[in-house]
Amino acid sequence: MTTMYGGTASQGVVVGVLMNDTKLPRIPGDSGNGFTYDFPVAFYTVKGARAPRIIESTDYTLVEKFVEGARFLEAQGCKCITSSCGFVIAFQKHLTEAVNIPVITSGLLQVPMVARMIQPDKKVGILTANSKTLDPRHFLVPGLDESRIAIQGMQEFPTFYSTFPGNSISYQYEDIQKDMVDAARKLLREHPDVQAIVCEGTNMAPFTPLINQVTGVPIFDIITLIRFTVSGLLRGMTNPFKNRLEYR
Amino acid sequence: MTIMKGGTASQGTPIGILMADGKIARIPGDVGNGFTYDFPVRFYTVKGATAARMIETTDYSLLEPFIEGARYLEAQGCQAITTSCGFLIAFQEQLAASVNIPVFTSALLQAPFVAQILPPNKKVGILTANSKTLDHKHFLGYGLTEDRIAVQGMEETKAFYPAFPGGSTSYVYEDVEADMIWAGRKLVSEHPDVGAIVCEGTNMAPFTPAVSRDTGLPIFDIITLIRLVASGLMRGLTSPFKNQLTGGDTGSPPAWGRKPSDL
Repeated sequence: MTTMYGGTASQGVVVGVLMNDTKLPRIPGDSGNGFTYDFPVAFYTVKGARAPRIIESTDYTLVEKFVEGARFLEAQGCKCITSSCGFVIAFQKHLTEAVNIPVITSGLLQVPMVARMIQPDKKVGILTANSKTLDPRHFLVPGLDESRIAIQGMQEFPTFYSTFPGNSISYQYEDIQKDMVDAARKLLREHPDVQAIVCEGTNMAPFTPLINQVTGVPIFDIITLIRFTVSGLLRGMTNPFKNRLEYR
Repeated sequence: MTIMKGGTASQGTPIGILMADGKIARIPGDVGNGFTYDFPVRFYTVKGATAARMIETTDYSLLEPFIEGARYLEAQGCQAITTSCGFLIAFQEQLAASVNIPVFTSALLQAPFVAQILPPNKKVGILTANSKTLDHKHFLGYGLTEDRIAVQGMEETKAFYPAFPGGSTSYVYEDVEADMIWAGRKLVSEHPDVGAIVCEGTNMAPFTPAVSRDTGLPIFDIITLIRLVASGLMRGLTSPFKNQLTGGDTGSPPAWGRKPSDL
């Protein structure tokens, strides 16, 4: 006899994604595109969540809207919550307190783990939409200080910045690709002791494979984080004898 | 024109695994079985690394042969190094300092991360081969404190402990599975505030899917961690448009081990 449990309106939607209130292109590979995932996800748009209130400054009046969205997604049966903008790590504590499921607001949550895996005298390089406004306190933990990180911002690259934080509704793929590779090369040139890169920006994810190819440096982004978290959430759906999700 | 770079004797084995010197059964799903992986790995047996010297006590004279093994795997072209025993987190800092590639000795490295993503009133449950000898100081820190963890050991089990730390060359699958289910249930019944489990033991991995189904909790083990690291190492082998390993359909060959200074 096998009991089948319900409990939420819809089920089998593993990841709930809190989306910024934008209309910028989110191509496959971006955390805001359904085709990025090989498991079902649900999107929820947080009204008023735009770059000036999240990236350029941190507007804590948005917390309430994000919490509302996280609770909605939890009630819809999601097993974990993520966001469409790495700067939402500012709300990590607020959101974990608000729901009963794991919350991964940002690719930056991987920084402490990556720092412990590399040589103690080497650095974790961080690519972020805006290094001027990113507050490292949100992802540093006791035992990991600023001497172990090196940050490169995209605010120096007008095409990238005007597209994503700038909320343009289209972009030239090759131009963004060039900005991303140039930014990664600059990071590694200025900090030769960077041994792994973590990307804050969710819009960067479609371009991280190329950065990995041209630099040879391991690169972690919101997608590696989501896949990792889901592998733990869905461990029961994997074949114990084979290291793969089995439900496909 | 595309330059193909060499640099090591063999290539294309991203993960190197330092194996304990034992003959226990390592079935598919275990860190020490090649069929566990959907990418190539390389094993290296560390002479003298027995359970008695790693699990029952921490014998720091083993550091030298472990460092030797890590350097060997690095020279053979591996891009990251892991181990076959979660207790080796005791050597994390020393091994990471000894090579130029990432080292992740133990699934317990995930514990601080898991604590960070759970509701603050929930705990990280830890299943370990031996809760009596596991020194918490090796995985606490990085924001994780003692009040956020609950540990359940396997030292009293009749099948699991003899099969793995005990060094038996065979075991009865159903008996070990029953021990794992028992441990998972005991952990959550004694600590109802456990929100997710981290498994220290690498031999536990073939059984974590069953424990996850039985407890309804997310489980992180050495395999989820290896997959995370491999996904970062091999990000260039994924299609940028699809969140899956594709064997490199992106048109440009991967730059295995190319150093930042080459740019």
